Amino acid sequence: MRRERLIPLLEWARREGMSESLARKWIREGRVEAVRLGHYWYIPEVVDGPEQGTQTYTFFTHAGGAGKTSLARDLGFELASRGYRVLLVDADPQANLTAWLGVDPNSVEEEETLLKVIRQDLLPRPRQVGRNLYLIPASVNLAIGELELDKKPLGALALRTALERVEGEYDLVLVDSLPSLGSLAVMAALAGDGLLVPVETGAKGIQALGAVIQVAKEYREALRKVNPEGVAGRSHIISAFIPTKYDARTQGDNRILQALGELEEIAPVAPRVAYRPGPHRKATEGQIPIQLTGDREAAEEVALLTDFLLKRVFRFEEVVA
Amino acid sequence: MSAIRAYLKGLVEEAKSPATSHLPLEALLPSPQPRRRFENLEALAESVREKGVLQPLLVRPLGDGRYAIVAGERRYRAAKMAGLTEVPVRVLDLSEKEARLLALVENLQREDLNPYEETLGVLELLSEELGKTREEVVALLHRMQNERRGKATHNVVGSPEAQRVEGVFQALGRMTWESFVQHRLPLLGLPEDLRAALEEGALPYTAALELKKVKDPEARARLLEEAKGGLSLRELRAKVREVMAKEKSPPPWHKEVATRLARLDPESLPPEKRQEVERYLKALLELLG
Repeated sequence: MRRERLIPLLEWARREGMSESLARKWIREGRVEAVRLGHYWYIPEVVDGPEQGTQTYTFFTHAGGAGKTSLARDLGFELASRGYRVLLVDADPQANLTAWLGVDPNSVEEEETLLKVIRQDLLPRPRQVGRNLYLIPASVNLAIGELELDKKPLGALALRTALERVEGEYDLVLVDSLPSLGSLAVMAALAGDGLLVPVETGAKGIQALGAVIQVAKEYREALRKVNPEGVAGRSHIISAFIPTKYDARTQGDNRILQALGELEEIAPVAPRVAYRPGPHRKATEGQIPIQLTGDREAAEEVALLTDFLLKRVFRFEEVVA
Repeated sequence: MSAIRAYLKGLVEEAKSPATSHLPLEALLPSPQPRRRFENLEALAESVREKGVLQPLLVRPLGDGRYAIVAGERRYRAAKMAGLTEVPVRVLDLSEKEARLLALVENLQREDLNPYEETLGVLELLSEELGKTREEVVALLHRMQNERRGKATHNVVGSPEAQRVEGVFQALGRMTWESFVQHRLPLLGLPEDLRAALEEGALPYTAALELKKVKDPEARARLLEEAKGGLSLRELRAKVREVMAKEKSPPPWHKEVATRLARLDPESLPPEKRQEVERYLKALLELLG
C-alpha cells in the first residue's frame, strides 16, 4: 500500500548528503517539493507500507485539563507525518480538538459529528485536516447526543459498530473523549482497543485514577461479550498511562512521577509530557500541533512519546522507506 | 513508603483483581478435593459448549495473579474440553483452611457424589474441623453413638467436640450424625468388590450394606450381579437372609422351643389348645423342677 510521510527538512538534507541551507535553496528554487507546517519545512515522501488492520484508542479520563485534547492533536499529527493514516474523532461537545485543528465549530453541521453515529449508525464523512490526517469534528450540539444515547438500545456500542464499517481505511483511530463518565464518554471508551489515560502529574491526577480504573474494569466486562479475544486475560481495558503537565521544577511532581511507575503493573507508563504554557498557547492560537511551534523540547517530547506508543501499545509493522 | 506510593499500590491490586466475574482458564489452578472420579465430563463439556458455564466457580486469590479453584473443578475441566478461554468466577478472600472447608461443603452439597465419596468427604470435613485424624473421628463418632444408646457413660455427648460434630452435620443439612454413624460409616469396611460397584454408581449404598453381610465370596458375587440387575431392596434382603440361613447352622431345636415360649401368651389361645399347652407345660415344669 502506498503511503505518504513527511520527512523533516533537516533529516532529509542529512540523508541526501547536503547542507540544510542548500536544501532550503532547492525549496526556494522549486527543485524539491516541500510543505511548510507551522515553524518547519517537510519533504513529503511516498513509501510502500504494509497492509494492516485499524487500531482504535480513546484518550480517557473524567478529570478535566489532564491533556486529552492536546495529546490527541499532537500524537495524531506526529503519527500522520510518519506515514500512518490517522482519523481523529472529537467526542467532546466543547469541540476543542475541532477548533485547535483549524475547523470552526460553528461551521460544523450536525451530520458531520458523532450525532450521525448516534442517530443513523453511520460514520460521518471526515474532514481532512492535514496530510494523512482526518477529523470527525464536534459541535456544541453534540451534547444532545448524550440524551439520545440514553434512549438508544446498545447505544454504548454505536461508535464501535460504526468504526467497524470503515475497518482498514485508517491505520489508527484516536478518539478524544470528554471529561465525564456519562454515556458519550462510555461510547467513546468502548469504541476501540483500549484507553490511553492521561494522568496529570499532581494530586488531582492521582485522585482521578481510582474511578478511571474502576470504570476500565466495568468497560472490560461490557466488551467481553462483543470482543472476547480482545479482552481475554485482562481485567481492564487501559492500554497506557501518560503522565502530563509535569513540572520539573517542583519537588512534588518529581515524587509523583516516580511513584507513577507503580502503575506499570497495570499498563505501560509512557514518558512524561511536561507543562509548557508558552508553546501550548502558541499552538492553540496558531491552530497547529505543539511540535510545530518551534519549541524543540516539546517536539522531542512528542516524538519520544510516539516512539513509546508505537513500540509498547500500537505495535504496527513499521512504515519504512 | 510514601502515601502516594501506597495509594498507587492499592490501585494496582484493585486493577488486577477481576471486576465481577470472569477469569481466563490459565489463571486458575485446581486444588486437591474429595472428588475422585470425573465422570460424564463429555456431556458437561457439550452443555458448556452450547450454553457456557452457568454457575460461577468459587476461587481464591493466590496473590500472584493466579487463583486456586475452591469449588468447580468439574466445570473447569469441562470448560477446558469445550475450548473456552475464560469462565465466570466468584472470588472469595479465604485462608487455605477456610477454602478446604468450603470446598468440602460445596462438594458435599452436590447431588452427584457417590455415597462412598460422600462418606469420605464428610469424614475429611470432620477431621479438618476437629483437627483429628480420620480414625480418631470414626472412634469419636462410635463413642458418641454408644453413649446415646446408653451403652457407655456420658463423657463425650454434649462436650464441645460433640457439639462441633453436630454443627458440621447441621451445616451440611443432609443427615444427622446418628444416621451417618449407622448407615454410612459401615461403608468404609466394605469389601473391595462392593466398594467398586458403589463407586461406579451401579449399586445403592443400602444394597451394598445388605450384601456386606454375606461372607461367602461366591454367593456374594452372584447376589451382587442380581442386585446390579435391579433387584429391589426387599427382594435382595430376602435372598440375603436365605443365603445367610444356609451359611449358619440351624439353631438347636430346644432353643427354638425356648424362643417360642418366650413369645407365648396363653390367654390369646383358643380354650382347647390352651388347656393342652398348659398341661404339657406343667408336666415339663415338674420334670425339670
